[in-house]
Amino acid sequence: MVWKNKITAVCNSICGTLTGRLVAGMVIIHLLLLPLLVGAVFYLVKEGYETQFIEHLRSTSPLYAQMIRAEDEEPVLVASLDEILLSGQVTFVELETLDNRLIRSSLENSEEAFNEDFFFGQNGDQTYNIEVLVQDADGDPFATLRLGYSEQMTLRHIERTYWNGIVISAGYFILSTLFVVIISIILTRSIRQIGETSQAIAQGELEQTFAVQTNIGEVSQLVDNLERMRMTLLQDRQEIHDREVRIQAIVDNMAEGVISTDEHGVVESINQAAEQIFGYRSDEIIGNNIAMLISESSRVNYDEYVRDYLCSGIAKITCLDALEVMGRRKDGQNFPLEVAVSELTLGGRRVLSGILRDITEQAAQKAQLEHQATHDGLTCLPNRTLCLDRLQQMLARSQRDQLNSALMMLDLNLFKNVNDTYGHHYGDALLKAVAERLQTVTRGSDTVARIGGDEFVILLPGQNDEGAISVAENILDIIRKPFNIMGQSLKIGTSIGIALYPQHGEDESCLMRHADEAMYKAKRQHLGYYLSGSDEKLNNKSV
Amino acid sequence: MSILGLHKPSWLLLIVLWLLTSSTAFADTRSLVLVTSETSPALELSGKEIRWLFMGLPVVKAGQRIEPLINATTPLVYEVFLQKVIYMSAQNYERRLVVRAFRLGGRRPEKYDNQVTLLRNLRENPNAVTFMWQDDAQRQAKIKIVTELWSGKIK
Repeated sequence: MVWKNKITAVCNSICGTLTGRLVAGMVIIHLLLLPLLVGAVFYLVKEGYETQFIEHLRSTSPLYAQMIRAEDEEPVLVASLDEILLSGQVTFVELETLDNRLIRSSLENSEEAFNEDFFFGQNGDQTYNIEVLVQDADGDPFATLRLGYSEQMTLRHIERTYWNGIVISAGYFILSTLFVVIISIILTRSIRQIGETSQAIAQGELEQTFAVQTNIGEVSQLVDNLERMRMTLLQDRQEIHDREVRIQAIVDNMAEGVISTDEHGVVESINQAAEQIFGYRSDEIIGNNIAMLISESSRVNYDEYVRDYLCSGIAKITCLDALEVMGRRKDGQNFPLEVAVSELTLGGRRVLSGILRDITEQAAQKAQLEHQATHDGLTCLPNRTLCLDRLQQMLARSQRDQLNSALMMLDLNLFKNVNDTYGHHYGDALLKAVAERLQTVTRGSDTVARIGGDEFVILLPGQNDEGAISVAENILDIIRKPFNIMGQSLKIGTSIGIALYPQHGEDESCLMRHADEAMYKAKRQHLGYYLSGSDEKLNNKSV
Repeated sequence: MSILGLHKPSWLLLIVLWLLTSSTAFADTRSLVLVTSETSPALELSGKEIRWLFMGLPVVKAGQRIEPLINATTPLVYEVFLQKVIYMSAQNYERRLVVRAFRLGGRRPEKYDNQVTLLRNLRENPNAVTFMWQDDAQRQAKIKIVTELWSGKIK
């Protein structure tokens, strides 16, 4: 079994090559046809030798018979027989007369029985025996001449021809096998060269040319076709390369960052703008999950998007409108990032492509605009709009938590005098100083807002009447102190109106109105503060 | 006593059979004769004339040209004919016939390898002659023996 497997393996390896198949085919053909050819030739040669031999003896034996004359005496006849025997080819001769008298040669005295042959090799005695009638001058037979011709020489010729034929056949077989091997090697050399060049081209070396010299028409045609194909591939590759370079240049020169990932978020490519945005090199990002570029705060949403997408196949994260997320730079800094994601299919797999824009400046500008829209430009305090919004929130929270809250409305006394005396610059500086002082006597949860001119509103969530009054007294004390404005010591006062939730109203307008009325009462009556709806005795702090 | 499983009487029988089938024991005496159709006129041909006839030379008897038919129905009868009548090998004989026909014109003697065809043509042509074994000739109807060409032992 082992030998069988080895033989099978050897046969497979031989027949696996063109040379092997050519040689094997030639050997098989010769093994089938050569014996036929050689056998036919041997047969023809043998037939020729035998026919020649028979022709000779049949034509010479009558001539020998003519040497015998009827009138010769026996010694003469014996001498004639001796002459016949000495011819070399005759090995037996005897003469039998009609009266059955046997006359033999004196040189040989064979006692073998004479049996005439009609075919070469008949009887197997290596002698062709033939009888010829001997006729006298009148043409009447008077004796029978028996001759034996040796077949040995002819047999030796035949045998030598056989051996020569075998040797020549073997030599022909060996030489033809050798020639086939040489020719197949020459033939397959060009094919091997083609194979080597093709392999190099398959590995990307398109610059390799099919420099195969051959006189074989089919191989030459194949080489020409392959060379044309190579040139086409080279051209296509150059075009593709140029296109890639062009596209890469466009992508790299985009102001926006471009990142592509697989459907699991693993980054596959990144352009220069994205590198600059995140502070990473491309090799630091490629192969990692894009989550490393997203801040923790936005990652939950990102994970949810990816999970939904992978489960449903519906790319919710892909949309025409950009998403705003918080990106994370290499140094850990989070920054606002605008992302527009699209999905494409490449080679049967999903690829997500994102265009990213660092909107830090835009976000800051937006924040500034929002700030400007909700804050007083001079004092940086919340303006009326923001104040009303916060008042709304305070009332809602107070209602939910069943808490008291207080609203104060302030008006600065003698502010107009300062403006008129010293000018608007002093007035503005005074307002800013007042805003600062007001914030020092309020809590962080309180809101100090400037709603116009010299009017301020203070929101005190969670404060009752006693707390509000305490804050009012603090405000009066701190406003009473002189303000040093550009070298001038300025003294002003304030009138404060206090309204309480829910006693004086449960909505903004009602509370505002009560606080405003209380403020005017405090101003008219020269009281520091006035609690809306309260006895005047409680408001005895005069300014 | 037994040798190779055979007893003595069996061995003796084998030896006798071998002797009987050996070349020295078996040699038939056969005669080669010239035959013609029974409707043919009486024909006398010498040995020389017979040889000329089958060498393609014209032989006329009673104003009629004798037509030879070559019997090659068996190799033995043909070779005996060649050796005893023509004194040539088969190749040389056939080559001589072709050469003679080209040089002198006329037709080569017809050669038959089918006995039925040979005998049919022989019977249909009263001027035709052929050769065959005497025992074969005696078995065939409507043919007669002209002369004996050769008689001897054949193994």
